Amino acid sequence: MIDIVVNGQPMPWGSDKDVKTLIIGTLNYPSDGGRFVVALNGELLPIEKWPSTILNDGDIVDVLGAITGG
Amino acid sequence: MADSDGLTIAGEEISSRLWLGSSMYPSPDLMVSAFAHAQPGFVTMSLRRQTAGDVANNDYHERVSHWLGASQARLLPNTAGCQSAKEAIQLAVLARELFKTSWVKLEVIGDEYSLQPNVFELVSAARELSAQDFKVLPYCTDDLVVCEALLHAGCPAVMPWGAPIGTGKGIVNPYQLRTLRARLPEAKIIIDAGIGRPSQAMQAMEMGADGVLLNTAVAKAADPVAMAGAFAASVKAGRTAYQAGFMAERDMASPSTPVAGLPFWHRSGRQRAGCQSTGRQDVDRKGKSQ
Repeated sequence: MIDIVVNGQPMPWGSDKDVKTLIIGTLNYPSDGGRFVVALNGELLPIEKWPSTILNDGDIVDVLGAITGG
Repeated sequence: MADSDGLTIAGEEISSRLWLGSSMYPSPDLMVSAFAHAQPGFVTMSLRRQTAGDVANNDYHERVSHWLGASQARLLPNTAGCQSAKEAIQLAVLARELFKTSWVKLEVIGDEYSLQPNVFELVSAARELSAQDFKVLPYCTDDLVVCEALLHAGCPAVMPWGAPIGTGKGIVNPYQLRTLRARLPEAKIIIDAGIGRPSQAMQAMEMGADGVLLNTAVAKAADPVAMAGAFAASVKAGRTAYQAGFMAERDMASPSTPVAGLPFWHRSGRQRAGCQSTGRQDVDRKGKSQ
C-alpha cells in the first residue's frame, strides 16, 4: 500500500494502480469525461494518460470541476 | 441588447462590451435569465476541487454551458484565488483543458483584505501564459506602468479595477482611468471590479473604457434580470456618448436659446428684472451707462 492525497485528503492506495482506476473505478467520477480535469502534483494529467500513469507514494491528486466565478 | 460596435480582442470579435460574472446568483434560472437579458460578451467561471457528486450535479456549469452554446457570448475562465504566478499558471492550464478555451482572466491576488492584485506575479504569469498561446486578460490595478508591462507581456487587453472587488464604489480614481486612456490610446481597456451601479458603468464607458466586467452588482440586485438589462443599456449609452464626443465644459453659463431678437433686448438685465441698483454698473446694448 502507498499513501496518496486526493483533493486534500490522505488516502491509502494500492501499489501499481493507475489514475483511471482511482478516478473512475474507485471514486466514481462520471466516465464520460469533459466535466472535470485531473491534476497530478499540480500539473494537468490529460485523460488519455490516466490508464498509463501509476501513482506513487506521496502523490497529490486533485479533481477539479467548474464553479461559478466573477 | 447586444451593443457591439466592433470590439475586437486578440483578433476575435466580442459580441458585447458588457461582460458578466456567474457567481452569487440566487438560482441558475435567474443567472441565465440575466445573461439572456444583457447578452454579455463574456461570462466568467472558475474551477475548484469537486467530489464525484459535485461534478454529477453541477447545475450552474450545465446551465452556463447550455446558454453559451445558444448565444454569441464566450466563456472566460478565471484564476481567482491564486496568489502566485505558479499557481495562476497551473490553474490556467487546467481551465483550458476543462473549458476548452484559451481565453483566461488572469488573477493573482497580492492582498487578501483588499484583493489587490500582485502586479509583479501578474506580469510574470502573463508573460508565461502568453508564450503558451493563452489569450490573457489580466485583472490589474489602474497603474499605467503595470498596464504597459502587461501589454508588452503579450496581453491583448488589460482589465484595471474601478474599485476593489465587490465594493460597488465605482471608478474611485477617474484621473487614472483618463491617464490610461490618454497614454494607451490603442489598448483595449476593460474595467473589471468595483462597479456597483449602471451609472458607474456608463461613467467608465464615457471615459473611454472599451468594456466593463462585473458580477456582484447584477447577481446581488433585488431583481438581477432587470439590473442586467440596466447595465447593458448603460454600457451601450456610455459607449455611444464617448464616440459622439462631448461638449467643452465651461465655467460660465451660456444661453442655449438665442438672445438676439427678444423684444426687450435693448434694456439692461437689471431694468428688466426691476432691480434696485447694487452699485454694479449696467451697460445697455448701445454701450451707454445706466
